[in-house]
Amino acid sequence: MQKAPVTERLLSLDRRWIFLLVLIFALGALVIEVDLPIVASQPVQDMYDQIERLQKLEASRASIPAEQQAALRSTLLISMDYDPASKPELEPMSLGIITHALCNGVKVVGMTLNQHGQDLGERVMQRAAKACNADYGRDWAYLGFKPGGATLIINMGQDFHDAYNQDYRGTSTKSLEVTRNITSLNSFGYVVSVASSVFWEQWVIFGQARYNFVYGTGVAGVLAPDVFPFMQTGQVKGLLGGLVGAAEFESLIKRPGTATAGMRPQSAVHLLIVLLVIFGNTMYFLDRRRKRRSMRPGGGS
Amino acid sequence: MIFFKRTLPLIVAFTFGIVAIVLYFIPHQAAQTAFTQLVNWDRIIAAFALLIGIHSLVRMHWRKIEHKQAGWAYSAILIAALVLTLAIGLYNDGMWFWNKRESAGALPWIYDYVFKPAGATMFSVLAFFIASAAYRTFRARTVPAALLLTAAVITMLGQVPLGRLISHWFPDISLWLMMVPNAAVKRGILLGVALGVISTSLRIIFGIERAYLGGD
Amino acid sequence: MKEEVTTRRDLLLLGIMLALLVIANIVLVLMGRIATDADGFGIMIAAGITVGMYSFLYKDNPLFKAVEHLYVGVAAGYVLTITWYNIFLPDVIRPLLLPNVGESRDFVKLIPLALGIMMLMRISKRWGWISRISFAFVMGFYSGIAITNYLETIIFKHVRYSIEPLFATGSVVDQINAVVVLVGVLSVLIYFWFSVEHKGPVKVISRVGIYFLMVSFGASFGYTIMARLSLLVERLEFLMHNWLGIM
Repeated sequence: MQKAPVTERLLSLDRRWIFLLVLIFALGALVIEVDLPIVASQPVQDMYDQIERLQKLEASRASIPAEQQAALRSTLLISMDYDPASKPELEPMSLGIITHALCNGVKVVGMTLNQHGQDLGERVMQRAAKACNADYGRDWAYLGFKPGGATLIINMGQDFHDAYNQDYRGTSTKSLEVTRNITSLNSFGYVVSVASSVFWEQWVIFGQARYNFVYGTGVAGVLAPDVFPFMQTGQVKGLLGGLVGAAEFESLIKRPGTATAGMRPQSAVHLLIVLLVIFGNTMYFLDRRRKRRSMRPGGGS
Repeated sequence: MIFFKRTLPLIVAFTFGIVAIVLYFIPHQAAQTAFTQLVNWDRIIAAFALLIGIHSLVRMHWRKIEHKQAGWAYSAILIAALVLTLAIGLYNDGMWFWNKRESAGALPWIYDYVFKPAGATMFSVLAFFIASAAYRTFRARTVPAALLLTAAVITMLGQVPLGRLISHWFPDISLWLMMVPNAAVKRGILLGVALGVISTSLRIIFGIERAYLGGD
Repeated sequence: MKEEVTTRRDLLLLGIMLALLVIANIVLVLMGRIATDADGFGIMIAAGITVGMYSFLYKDNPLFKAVEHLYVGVAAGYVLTITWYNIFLPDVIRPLLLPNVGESRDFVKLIPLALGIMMLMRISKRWGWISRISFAFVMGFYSGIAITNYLETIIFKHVRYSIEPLFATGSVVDQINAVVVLVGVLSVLIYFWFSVEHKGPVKVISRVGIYFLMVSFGASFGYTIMARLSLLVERLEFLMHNWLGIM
């Protein structure tokens, strides 16, 4: 039996060989340590600048009268709206943002709109608080999950303590120093949603426009292209897009973590896919030319 | 009976739809308090909707077990896992379900060693299939397909540090692609979706769209 | 009969694969790579789940199916638990039955409680019509909220920011980008306008819209692969470092 031409055999390659190539490239890049340059893009720089702004506001607290301090708007609200499936990509963002804020004296309040994300958010905040010696209740608080999505955002915008009357430990939010003076979403200096699905958009549509707070977001890579129109309108100030966004933020705050380490296998597999696309198209056009030649009168294979 | 089954729900939808629109524009404290209360109710009812979803899931798999259909053993695994997780959650490390949730105990263990790895692995399998699809189906047969491939290659290399090592043009062009043509497309789609949402919402409020009420 | 044979064969295959995993874990425990405590046992379970799911890449098999169903069951149980502790207990049960010291019972919560129970009637064939009132409240109220918010946040703002940059003072590059954005937005909107036949000028503009769409989809593909890869890398790190202890 005549063997099929090389191009045809390569084009119908069993996909399990490609799976194996992906595994080899990913594992190889994990094992071989190479330093890769990570330069922050403008959207990532914008988020970093916003947290720096909060840090400056918080630093000025001591120099302003006590009755004006409640209106300072220097607290960060971070909504960790992701689930375990997106944790590897988004947790480095949350950890980087919260650590940078807490270690620079910015007060942080955490929460989540994602029913599967409650424990993830709690762990990240505890890790960051431990690294920065931050006290619960005074420097940070975690509110946990409540269902509702858009309606919860509106509820928080209307009356913060009505939406969240207690934190995830059951303590009244009116008794915690960090949330005592928060009345609405615009009491926060910066609101960030780190999201794996539509939650980031709900914060813009149902929150940012109506309650007029400065908003930034970190999203899973697949959602990042959707955020760019909102950045042009100023509705989103600061974007971390996927693992590379997290790595760029880690480079700005000078705390390389899992995102930075993940750039090696990312680079390797991206290169593999580009090579596969080029190789596949080359084989396709060669095979097409071979078929056309064989169809010509007197043409051979 | 038709009034309660069909007319009353339409009146309710109309009333609360108009109330939501009107309250948006009234800054008076009483109006905003009423709005906050309604939003609070909406969130509580959303929690009950979750229960309906779980009921559908359990019913479907219970039927499989009852009638010993193909794969019933897997359905038994599902139901057992659900019941066990719920029981552990309500046991609450000995403090039981009428107290606040404990941070220690078997439930966090299940979350860390079953739920998290399963979810992450399930979605990571797609990485392999994307690579395979890129080799087997991405063909520059036409001009639009060639444009798609070119944009994909530039973005893939522009997003990773390796791209910057090859040439600084990759990250620069990649960012321009995101900020200009991609932003234009996403904005066009966004405007289309927004118009669709507004028209569907108006149809729901005025009772033209009734599919959400179910049959009969 | 055929189904019985398939089930028995599946169970046998599942048993063999589980036995192999158990043997591997015993070896790792004996080598001291995994501790014999709750965390160590957890790592073994997580590794089994990971390997079970990845076995699908070779071929669909009983271990994959078992792990898949386990995941769905645990996820459903977890969601129920969280819903109880995060919404029913603090927002319904406590205000009605166990108010804080100094606070009175909030009987207004009876209304959403009643609406919620009415929603559950959906399960019943005979009384399912009662749930329509709850659904009507949720759909009507959310529709009202959506109209005002979408109009303000999306329609007005994004139409404005498609046109305004054309009149802003900026560099030549900014002006060109503004024109490209406007052309892109209009051509994509016209492409999706299926009420009008795509011929003549509409066909030309739709074609431009398709080109813009292809560029956007290509860029989105680049980001999608990044998202999935990060999950794969994390799982590989877990298997190599936490389970096998070889990295």
